[in-house]
Amino acid sequence: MKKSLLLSVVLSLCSLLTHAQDTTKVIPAPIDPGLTIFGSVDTYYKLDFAGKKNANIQTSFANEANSVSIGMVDLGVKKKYNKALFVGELSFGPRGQYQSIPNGPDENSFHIQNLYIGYDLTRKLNVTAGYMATFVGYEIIAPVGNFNYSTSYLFTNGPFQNAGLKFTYAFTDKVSLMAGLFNDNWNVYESKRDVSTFGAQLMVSPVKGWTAYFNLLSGKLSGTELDLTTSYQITEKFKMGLNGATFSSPDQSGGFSGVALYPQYAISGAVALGLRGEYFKNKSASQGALSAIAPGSSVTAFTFTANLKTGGLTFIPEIRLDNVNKASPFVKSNGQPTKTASQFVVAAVYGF
Amino acid sequence: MKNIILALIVFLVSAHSYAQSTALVLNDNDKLMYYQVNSLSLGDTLQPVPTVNEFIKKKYPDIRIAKNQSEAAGIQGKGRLTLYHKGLVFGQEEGQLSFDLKIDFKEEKYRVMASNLTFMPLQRNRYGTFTPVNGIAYAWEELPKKVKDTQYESYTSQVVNYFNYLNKQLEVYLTSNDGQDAKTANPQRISTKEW
Repeated sequence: MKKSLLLSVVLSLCSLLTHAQDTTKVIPAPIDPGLTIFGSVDTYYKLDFAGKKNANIQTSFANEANSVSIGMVDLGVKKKYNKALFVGELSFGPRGQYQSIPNGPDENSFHIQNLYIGYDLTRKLNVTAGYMATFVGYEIIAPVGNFNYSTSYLFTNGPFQNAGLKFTYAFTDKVSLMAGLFNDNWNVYESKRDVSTFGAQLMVSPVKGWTAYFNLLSGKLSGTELDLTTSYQITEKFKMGLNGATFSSPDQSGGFSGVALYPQYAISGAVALGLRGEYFKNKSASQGALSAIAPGSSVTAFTFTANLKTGGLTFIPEIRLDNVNKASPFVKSNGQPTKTASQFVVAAVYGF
Repeated sequence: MKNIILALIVFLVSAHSYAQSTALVLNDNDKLMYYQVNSLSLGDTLQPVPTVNEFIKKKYPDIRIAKNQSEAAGIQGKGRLTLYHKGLVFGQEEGQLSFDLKIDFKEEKYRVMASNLTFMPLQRNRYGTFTPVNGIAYAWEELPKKVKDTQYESYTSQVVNYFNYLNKQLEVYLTSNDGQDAKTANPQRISTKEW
């Protein structure tokens, strides 16, 4: 009886083993998610302390005062298979349409934030072509990529997207160089005349946690911008970012220069505080205003922001104070000009 | 007879559990690592180390093998693996594992080791792709304090699965007579007339 029992156990184990050997040949491959979907939704309330319906501070987005307003629905899809990658990112809403991208010839929005294809020619060399978010600057259009909800003057007056062809060569994990040719104007789906704006980016990461990007974008129609964007995660909780840029309009008729500092401190995994301090100057003597900053004027802006996170949701309360040195574009509640403007914004951003 | 049968049971069970790892293990320094020893039959024709290097390079482009490897020193390299959150329909990159890989050879066996397991969270960048958060990296032992339990289990499962897969592919490659991989290896010839 015992022998029969033992024999049946052995036989069962043998059959199990045979089965196991079959299945080990088809160990499932590491998870490939197939198509990746990502995006965000954002909404906000803004209060201009002067009580103005037309907000004093005129940097990009969060610009509808005394109103509960919407940002955008941002929807992106991405797929990388072997050496080929595509990204398509669509956006709907004020932030994702007329405030950040151009309309097509029929005045309808194409809704395209990113539409490009990339290919790894070698392990170190990549080529990418299409309509891409600009490589210049610290802040970006998607609210999930920024700490502050309102944006800087440097961001508002710099490029948003560049359509073109670029090559990126990674010398090591710590040094890479990108160079490319882009449409003759910024933020256009179609060039005016040709593809003649030259762009380049040198990335260096001198120590762990510190990355710096030296950017150049130069074209006869688009002008020339030199930009430094860098951030350093000094400790696990403290991060310092810096953006400095100077832009010369075509034919040297104007431009801007400025610098912004971004110290941020994470109190916990769910709560972080940050400050943006920015100096921005309109270099033009006679050309138009830039974000309401008159030619020859400069502005100093301080934005104190908190990020409160739970899952994909980030709650962003923010207070901002801007101060111009002359030719004030700001007005008080009684309509009299003033050199200062202040606002409170509270935003909710859900990223996925 | 009973002893023989019991010994056979023990052998079969141990042989089965020897087939692949199901978890990370702690090494001599209390660091988590992947560790798997594989036996080879006497009749197996091992591929020389340089061709194994080429195999790893071809199959695992995210593993950088150090140059000038010798059979005595084994194979060493550094690699990366993207870790995903897998939803019902779609997935998304959430983290990246970096690791040191070492493959050692000895008589009739070899071992695959992945150590210095480090997790870097990923964030979406301006181009709609996902890149490591600058300056944030956690040793695998610290990870349970930094992510949810379900995330930790999922990441660990993905890591073990990845190295088991590499281990299996390597075994097939090493023991194939002409150094072909599993996909291109000549199939075994059988007779359908006699069974």
